[in-house]
Amino acid sequence: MAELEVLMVGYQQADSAATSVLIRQVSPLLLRFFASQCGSRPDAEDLLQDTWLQIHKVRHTYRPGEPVLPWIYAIARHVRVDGYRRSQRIRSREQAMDPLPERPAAATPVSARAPDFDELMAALPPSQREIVSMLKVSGMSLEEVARATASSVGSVKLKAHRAYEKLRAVLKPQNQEAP
Amino acid sequence: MSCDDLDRLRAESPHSASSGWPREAQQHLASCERCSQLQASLDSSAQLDFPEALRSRIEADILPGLRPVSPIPSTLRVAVTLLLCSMVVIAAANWRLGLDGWYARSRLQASVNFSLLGISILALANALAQQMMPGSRRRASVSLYIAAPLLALLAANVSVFGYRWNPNFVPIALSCWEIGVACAALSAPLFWMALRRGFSLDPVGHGATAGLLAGLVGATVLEIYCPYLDRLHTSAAHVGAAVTSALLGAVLGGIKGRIERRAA
Repeated sequence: MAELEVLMVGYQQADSAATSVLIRQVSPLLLRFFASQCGSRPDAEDLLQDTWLQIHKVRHTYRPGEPVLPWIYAIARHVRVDGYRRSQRIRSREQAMDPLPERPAAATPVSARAPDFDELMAALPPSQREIVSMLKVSGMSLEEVARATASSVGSVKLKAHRAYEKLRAVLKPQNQEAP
Repeated sequence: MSCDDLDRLRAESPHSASSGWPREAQQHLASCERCSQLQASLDSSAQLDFPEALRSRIEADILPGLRPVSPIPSTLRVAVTLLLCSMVVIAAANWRLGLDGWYARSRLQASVNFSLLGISILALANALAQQMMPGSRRRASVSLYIAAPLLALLAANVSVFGYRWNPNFVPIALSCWEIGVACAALSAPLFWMALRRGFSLDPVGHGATAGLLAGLVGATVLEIYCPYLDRLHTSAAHVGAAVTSALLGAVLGGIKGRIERRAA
């Protein structure tokens, strides 16, 4: 992660090579984070682009020597909340003309094969989903996740524990599924 | 080891691969189908696919307008600047208003009140300096930073000051409250200068914290100036000025946040 800090300082100093590498390293993590949060790939891509624009605008607020990922994820969360508010505002003014297709219930047990990560994440509430995503996808430490979510390490641990408990409950063992 | 113990292990050491877990955990993982399925799914999170076109779009948005920027000052530097601004306002205001309150107090009253005000101002200046950077370490929530100094000051007022009936309570309290709010308004632009380069993710909370810091500067001016040592007066007028300032800060922060959201 120290490498990211060097790249971030390079970004602040307008080093285009460092910026390019930073974008290449962080974007896949952020895209995965948004995809697990909003469920739709195009929305996740839009949020990713908005996040980079916001990061670019406030890149001077990164203090060299501090961990980079909590700074980036804190901005990403902010962009996601803004995006959610915007979409809610638009949705409140829209009129549905066709009946919407039925969505599968999130809490139903998933199949017995080891389910896909995103499939599994759909069963979690957003606050637990983002914690698991930061821990497992981005490989952030508990302290870094606490910084990004403006909460304590204890609260992150508790949310992660509850999330794993819930995920385990959602999973169905193979011997139960067999007729 | 139970499934719950394994969940706890996962939560407490999120990075360690299951191969590095204790033998009991690995034995449980091998025998429990749900836990092994969950582990397999969590491990699959590392597989990522990222479209090159999207990366090119992001680079096209950012790289052409790339200019060097100087990072915001360190937390310590910003906090010291805020403290200096506070001291300048307190010194200037009391130079003009006088020190009657300082001389009217007993040693106990002065030490309790000014220690609390000093600690609160220090803690708020540090919190504001940290909040300038998103994702910085937070020792407490914004609501605690706001509620704790106010409650501590109220408790100190009740415990170290007595109560005396005063027929002119309302005009005297109003006059003190006005002075407190005016001093807060004087310090607010100085604080804004020190904090303007930061990016707050919670404009309302940030505004309320900055407002409370300005309000505590006003309350300190009043404590030094005002000789009315009545618990009702100090709570309503002196602490009341700080509460008013925090509320005004929250409103201004909310307006700023709304404007920024609309602009985006």
